Amino acid sequence: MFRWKWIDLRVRALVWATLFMVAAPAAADTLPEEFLGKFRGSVTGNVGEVEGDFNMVSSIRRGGFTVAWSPNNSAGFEASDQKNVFHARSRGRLLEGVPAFWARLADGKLLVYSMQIDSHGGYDIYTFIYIPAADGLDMTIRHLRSGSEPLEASARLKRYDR
Amino acid sequence: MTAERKYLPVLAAILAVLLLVAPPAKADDQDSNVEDFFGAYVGDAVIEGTMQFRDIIVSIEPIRNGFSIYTSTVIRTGPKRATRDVKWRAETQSFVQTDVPHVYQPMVRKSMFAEKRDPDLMAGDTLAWASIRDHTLGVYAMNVLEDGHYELRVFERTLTDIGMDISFVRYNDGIPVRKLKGKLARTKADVDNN
Repeated sequence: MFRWKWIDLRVRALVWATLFMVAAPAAADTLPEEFLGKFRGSVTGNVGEVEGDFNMVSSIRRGGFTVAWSPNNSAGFEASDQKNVFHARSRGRLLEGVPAFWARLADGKLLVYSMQIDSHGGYDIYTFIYIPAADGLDMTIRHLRSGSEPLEASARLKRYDR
Repeated sequence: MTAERKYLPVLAAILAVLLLVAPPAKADDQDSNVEDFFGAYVGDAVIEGTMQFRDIIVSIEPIRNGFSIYTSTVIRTGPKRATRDVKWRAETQSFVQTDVPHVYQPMVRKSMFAEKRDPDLMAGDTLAWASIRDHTLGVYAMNVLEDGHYELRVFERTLTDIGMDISFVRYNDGIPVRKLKGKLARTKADVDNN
């Protein structure tokens, strides 16, 4: 009787473990809570078109999320086949200057990318790196542009939606 | 009529003549044309922070609607070429003009079955293009890798008095991880043939 009871327990544990593995998503299809909301701060110096007051607003949408950021950018991101990688819907025509956006989650950070070929045929790439902080997000911006040295700036963005 | 008003038409006429006679902006102030790069160049380069030297030959030639760049690179780890570990590679890249001024795209072999489509960075395609800005011919190649980080390879050739300066930088997610710089001289044809 005692033996059967233990087998029963083992089977139950196995069933629960299997259910847990099946229920857990294979890949995140949206943003963790700490990156969602409204954040603002001030960037010291200027990095390309980013200067001074900076706003970042992110929200969930079906199959992904949207991010809007200063001065006038926004993109909707969808989960890709790769875990923690999100693509904005491609509009093509990159050589004509249409920008491409994508994002990824890595090591607890959210990285949002924008890439554009400028009117002189040069590259213009921004990387926004967001790291959760006590009252919002720490942000680092990297800017890579033809004919210029790589630039970097950072800012503390405070959450203002709670 | 005041004296100033009296002389205004004369001043305007002198200004108009000066504008017509004034020489155009110096060539140095304008972007180079692709024709300015045509020719053969030889020289050397080094990877920053290493003893890896490159002996380089570049030949830039016109093709229909664009240009091709032939690059021969001898890779050596010391002052001499004739060593056991010397390496060599050569490649030709061809670019054709796009609808955007000064921007070129890689020439692809035409196939009647192939559907023309733009490279899709998110699908793993390499986005390659070339452009001329000031006196620099830039060739660029970009990839977004599976984990979402990007690689950008920037090869720039800038015209100088003797030929061209070359520079290559490979960026990994915006961080330069490999830099090469070198100087090439424009060659003259050897007419003696001996």
